[in-house]
Amino acid sequence: MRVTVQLPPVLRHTADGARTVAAEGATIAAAIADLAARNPALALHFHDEAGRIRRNIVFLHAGEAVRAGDAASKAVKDGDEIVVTNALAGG
Amino acid sequence: MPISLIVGTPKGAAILSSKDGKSWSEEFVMRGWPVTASARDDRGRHYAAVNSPNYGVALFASDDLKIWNQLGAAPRYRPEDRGNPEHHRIVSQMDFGGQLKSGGRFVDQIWTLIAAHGNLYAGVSEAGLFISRDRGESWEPVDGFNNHPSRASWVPGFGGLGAHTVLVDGKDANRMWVGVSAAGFFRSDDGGKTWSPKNKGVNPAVESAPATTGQCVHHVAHDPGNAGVLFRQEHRGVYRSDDGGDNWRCIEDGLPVTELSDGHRCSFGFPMVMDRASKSVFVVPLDGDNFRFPRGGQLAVYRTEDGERWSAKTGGLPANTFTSVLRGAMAADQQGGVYFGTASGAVFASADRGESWQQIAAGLPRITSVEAYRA
Repeated sequence: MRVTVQLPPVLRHTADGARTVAAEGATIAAAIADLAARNPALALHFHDEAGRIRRNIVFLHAGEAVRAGDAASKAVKDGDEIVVTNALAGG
Repeated sequence: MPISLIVGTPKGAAILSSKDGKSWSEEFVMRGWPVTASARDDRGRHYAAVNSPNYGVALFASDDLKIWNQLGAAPRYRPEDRGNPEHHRIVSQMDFGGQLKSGGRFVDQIWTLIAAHGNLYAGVSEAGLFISRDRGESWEPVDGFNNHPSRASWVPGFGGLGAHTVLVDGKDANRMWVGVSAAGFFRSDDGGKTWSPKNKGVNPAVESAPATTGQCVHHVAHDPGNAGVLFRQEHRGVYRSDDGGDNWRCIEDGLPVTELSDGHRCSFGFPMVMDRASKSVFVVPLDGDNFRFPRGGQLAVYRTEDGERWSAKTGGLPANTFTSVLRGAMAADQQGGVYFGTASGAVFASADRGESWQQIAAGLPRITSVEAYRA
């Protein structure tokens, strides 16, 4: 599946300032892994030492908030948009 | 001679530049990233370490202090490395997913960067040492330190288990030191293969702490050209070693001594900085670990010229201020210039080894790191 991934402002320097990037994958986790494989700087931010998606990352997809730990089981369709954001803290 | 400061804050870095040491310009870069440490290598490239509880640790590099590009590598532990549960508890306020419960060891902050002998060294939290031999393009863990036999006895300090001080002998690349809160100070004489605790004569952080690896070192300074003479700001006092850390003795003549929360009396503070040209050493004492602000609200830098006696330098520094100076937030340019930033976002500079001070920036976020670079 070909999807569009929207990066948060603090990560856009890894994509020459682009707000969105294209990715391939059947799930959210696979699309993120595809991006990471092509962009080592972005990989540092997506995955921790154990190879997992970092614990505070949250994806917005099809009207749902998807936690990092659930990204591998969340299927995507061609043309979907995945927003990368993080768990909110403070208030 | 032109001078530039990299001032790290939780929201980015201020680059303060001056041609004459009097008038300063300011640019704010790496916006949105906590900037925790910086260094310049012997070819003139600057490096800055950033971290985020959401997006991890990374390094930026710049050849002109204006354009900063993120490197594609950073210090990272191996997946099989096991972490310290107490450190996890301290840093887990942002662990929404609960993944720290897996027990892994993660680099959550680069506390210090050092350039020496063509290498970059990074002291990190959870405590560890990493080395890059290719200008930050790849990093290797220093296993002799990271898997030290005493590691199981290391107790985190208030800010977690962090390796915040790394020193390298300027004449002998095999000799280096690492300071860990609160496991004390270690030295290697064989390029990092083996390490020995170097805390003899230093009070443990608490009476119940291990005698050899229970010291809460706050910062250590030396001249890499005369590396065996070390000055150490400890939670419990100020010390000096003349034999590479084998033995330490308290040097507090002239420093304000205060009562700590446990009743122990000593001089308390965080940064320890040396001006190599004059061998002067600088500290910023605070009124103990309960109050953590300058005594009576008078911001004061203390200097020793002979390595024994200290005197207060307050010229140009504010009274009635209740801030602090963090361990990485003070630096010397090695030509008599000394600089520090406060936890309330002000930066002060002295061109005369602390005799007089000028405020050169204000309104910044909490300042966590300051490094000074002469052109």
